[in-house]
Amino acid sequence: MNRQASSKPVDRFRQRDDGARRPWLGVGLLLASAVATLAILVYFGAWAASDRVTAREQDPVPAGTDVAAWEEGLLYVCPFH
Amino acid sequence: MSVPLIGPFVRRHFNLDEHTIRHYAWVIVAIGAAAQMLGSAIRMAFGIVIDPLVDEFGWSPGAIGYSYALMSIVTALFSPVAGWMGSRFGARRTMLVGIVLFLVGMVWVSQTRQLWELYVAYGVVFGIAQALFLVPVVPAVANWFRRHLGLGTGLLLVSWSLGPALVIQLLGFLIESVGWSTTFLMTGIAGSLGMAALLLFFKDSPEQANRTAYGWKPGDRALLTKGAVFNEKNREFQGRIQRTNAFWNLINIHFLGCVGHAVILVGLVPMMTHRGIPYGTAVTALALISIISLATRGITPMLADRFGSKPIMFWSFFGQGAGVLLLLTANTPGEFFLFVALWSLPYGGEGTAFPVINRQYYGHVPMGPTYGWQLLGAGLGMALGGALPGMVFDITGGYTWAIGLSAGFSLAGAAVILLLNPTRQPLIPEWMAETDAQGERVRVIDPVPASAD
Repeated sequence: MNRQASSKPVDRFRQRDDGARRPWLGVGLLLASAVATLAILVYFGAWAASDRVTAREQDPVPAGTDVAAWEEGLLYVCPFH
Repeated sequence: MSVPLIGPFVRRHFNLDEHTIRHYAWVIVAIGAAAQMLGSAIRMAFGIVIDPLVDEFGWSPGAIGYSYALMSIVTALFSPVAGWMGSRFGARRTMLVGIVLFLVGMVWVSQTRQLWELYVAYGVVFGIAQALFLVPVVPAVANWFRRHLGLGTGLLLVSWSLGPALVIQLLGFLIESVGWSTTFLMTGIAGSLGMAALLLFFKDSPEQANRTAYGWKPGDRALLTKGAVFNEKNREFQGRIQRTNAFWNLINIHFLGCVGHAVILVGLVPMMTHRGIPYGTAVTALALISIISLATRGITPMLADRFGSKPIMFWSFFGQGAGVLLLLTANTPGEFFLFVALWSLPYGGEGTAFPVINRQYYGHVPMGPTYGWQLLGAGLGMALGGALPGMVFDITGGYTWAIGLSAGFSLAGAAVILLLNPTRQPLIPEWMAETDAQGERVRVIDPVPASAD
């Protein structure tokens, strides 16, 4: 690679439009991973919540039948439970 | 190929004539390896202190385990800061702060009487210490290799597996002999003093030691590594790195890969015992993963250096993801050991090419901040992957979902690797040309010879 130093002390890099270069693909894929991970956690969390609610319904005496806030939230958010 | 031809082939393709053992870079690698071994050993040895803590204080294993999870998350979150500090103040100073915190954390843990103290001392103090201790090491070693970075990082990263293998036995012996509290105290004091002594010989860069980097050739320019101009240029360049897709993709890839193997590293023993394999056999299988993966942990960076990081990383991730599927039908010890033999090889190479691909994309640049961000992804991945097997088992009563998730995360990482730029060209070539145009000795970075992919 030929990298002869220019005799002009001009930093052309500074004159480039930095705003023209945006890492949409990289940021998008990272966000997609984050969303997918969150979806997996919500799915399993709602599964656990559903099991707990069912267990209490079958044996309501020791624990009562009230649904905890986190259980309610996960069951509300998850479309599969 | 006949045997006599192998020598010239290896000599030509791996440039053996350019190597020498008489170079200060190897001292830096040795010190870096010692730091990695100590830090990773204390981290990996946490499992052997759980029972003594349960016996003495009556805390539940789960409550004690939260301190490990907290430490993992704190280390991950602090990694970008540690990387920045290594670049801004130098790896040596940053590691020195890490050693002080390591000593404080270990002594505090040894005197712990309340659960919250364990969370603060081990979870927070040791978590920060570990980030300061471990993150700047790899970029500092990279400073010392103008060429053949894969060889340097390969030898360094072997210590990541070797440390636990050697030190866990010693810690187990000490805990049985003198108790957990004295073991932490002794390890903290001896480890801190030993590392402080080694740091006397540690230099952040060859320029600061008035030496040349390993692989230096006549015509290579020395790099500016400190001072106001360096700081300004470096800050600008780090901002430029963050405008590349590769910066974000590599964080993502490290996260996905670490979820993939953390599921197996944490879940393999309970998975095997759940299928009727004796506990001792399961522990042996886990230990074998550390031993077998040593080979690819060392070789992968060299292959990445020689043939390009992208294909090497892809096959490592693909192998890690596809290999996990063997567990779906494994029921006998033989089937599990076959899995261990096959899966350990891609697993060993999964995370070790990152320093090399950073060099190939960004040149001979201070890569502490970039590497720190990548370790943030890795740390969060390890924390999530470590939690998944137990969580999934509690819900489903089996490990099939955990195996599927492990494969899915690793294969997703392989897919993202396919979207990376080729490593033939540096990603910010205009910067590399323009820093020369200052007419002064202000070069902060330097391009590297093109790799093969």
